[in-house]
Amino acid sequence: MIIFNNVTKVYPNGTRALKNVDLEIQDGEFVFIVGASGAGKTTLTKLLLCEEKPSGGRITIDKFNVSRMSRFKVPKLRRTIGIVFQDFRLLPNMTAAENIAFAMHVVGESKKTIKARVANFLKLVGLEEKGACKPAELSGGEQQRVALARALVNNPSVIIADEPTANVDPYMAIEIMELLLRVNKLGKTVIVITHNVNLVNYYKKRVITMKDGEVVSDRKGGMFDEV
Amino acid sequence: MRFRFYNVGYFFRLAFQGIFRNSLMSLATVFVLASALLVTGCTWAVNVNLDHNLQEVNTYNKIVVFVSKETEDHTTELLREKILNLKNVSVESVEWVTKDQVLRNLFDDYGDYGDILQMYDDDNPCKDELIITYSDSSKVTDITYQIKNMNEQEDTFGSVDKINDRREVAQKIDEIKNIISLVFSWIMILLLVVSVFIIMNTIKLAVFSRREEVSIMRYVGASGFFVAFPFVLEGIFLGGFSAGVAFGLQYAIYKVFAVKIVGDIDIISILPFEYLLRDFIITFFVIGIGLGVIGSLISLRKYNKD
Repeated sequence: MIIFNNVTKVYPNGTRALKNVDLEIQDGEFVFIVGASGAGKTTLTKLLLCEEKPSGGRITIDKFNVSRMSRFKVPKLRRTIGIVFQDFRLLPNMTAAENIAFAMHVVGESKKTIKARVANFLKLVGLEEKGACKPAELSGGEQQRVALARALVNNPSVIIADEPTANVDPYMAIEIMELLLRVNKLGKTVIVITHNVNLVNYYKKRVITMKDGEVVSDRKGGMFDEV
Repeated sequence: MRFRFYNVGYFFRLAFQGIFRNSLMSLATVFVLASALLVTGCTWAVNVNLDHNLQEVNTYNKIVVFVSKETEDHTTELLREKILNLKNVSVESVEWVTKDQVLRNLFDDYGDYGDILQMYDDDNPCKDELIITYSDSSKVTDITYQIKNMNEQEDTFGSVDKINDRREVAQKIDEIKNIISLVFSWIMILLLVVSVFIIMNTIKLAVFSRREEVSIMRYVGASGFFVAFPFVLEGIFLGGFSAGVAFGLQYAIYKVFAVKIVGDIDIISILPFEYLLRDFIITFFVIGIGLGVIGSLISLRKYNKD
């Protein structure tokens, strides 16, 4: 479970990016976080990944108190969170399979486990035939699916997708969303940060709307609020 | 994180990749760090050899006290005993050489030409000498000062004509040693600081060229050690390689310059390279690898905070 309790974030230049945010996301939930640029979505993500520390309040993710976490414990937290970026961030000199394997390698998995799981996850995202392709040889949608497989391969309990459909065509956007829903059905908490009105309105999941660093609406089965 | 042996190969591969990817900076690092180590080695070699020569000078060096011509034998003996009984000035022995013996020694020293000195047989111009042997060259000033005092004391008044010590030689060698140490130390410090900066920049370049990989590693939960170790290893390799280069150059310089050229000069005694070998290896590799580690850790500090 993710809990934001009266969380405030003020950057050193004085910008108040988050103002007294209270939020609870249950295990296995699917949540859209929406809002205009500067609303505080990126800061929220950074706080979840412990890239930034809150200026006030308390953030808890499962057993981790993120607000007071030492930097030595951060890797442990990050292993419980999978992240998918808008720009995929695949390593260009590695194949699709190697990109997925890399995420397991750096956390110390054995070669045998890596080999078996990479094959499974390539299959899960429908790219079993393209494991040997480098990112440049894949379409945007395929690259995003590789990125999703990489985010999932270490079996995190939370998936954060930051604008996952921004760089893909509408058909591929649906495909990626369907994949995220499948992941959610496997019991993972999925948080999608997006500007895509159509997707939000189509899926009718919980929608948290942010504006000027505050949560202005939080609706289950909600729609994209124009704020 | 669990330790995997295959990670060792991975760390080594990344470290070598980093070195060759930024080959120009790596070369600059090796050049400057090896130069710094070479200066360190040369300073040290010069100092050790000067110390060694200084010790030899001290071993053969003695203070000679020329006794006044008018001094009675019993006063000379008293003076000898007083010098021998001086406390805390490291006097080991005092040998009394009579003026006749001094003249005979001169005959011997002049060899075939010694006959010329026979004209002095009846009117010996030499004086009795007291030859003092000491163990600590830093006490020479004390010894001469106390002997001069004895010359003022009632029982040995006016017995000392002249004191001849080789303090000036020892002082000159000390001065040269200090100047060499000072100049070389500054050059060494300067080069070592420059080396650390170059290592830092080399590692920064390595981190920059792998920034995407590092960023992904962090997001998926790689430990700080896993992220940083290949870069630290790169610093260790650069430092170790520089130490190896410096050691090779030091060997060549020592063998050619010190042993062959300076070693031919009779009055200078040069220690064999093998005598310094172990200390050279330890010093070079400890400083080289140490600076490699320090440079890489400093350049990684910023990344570890993220």
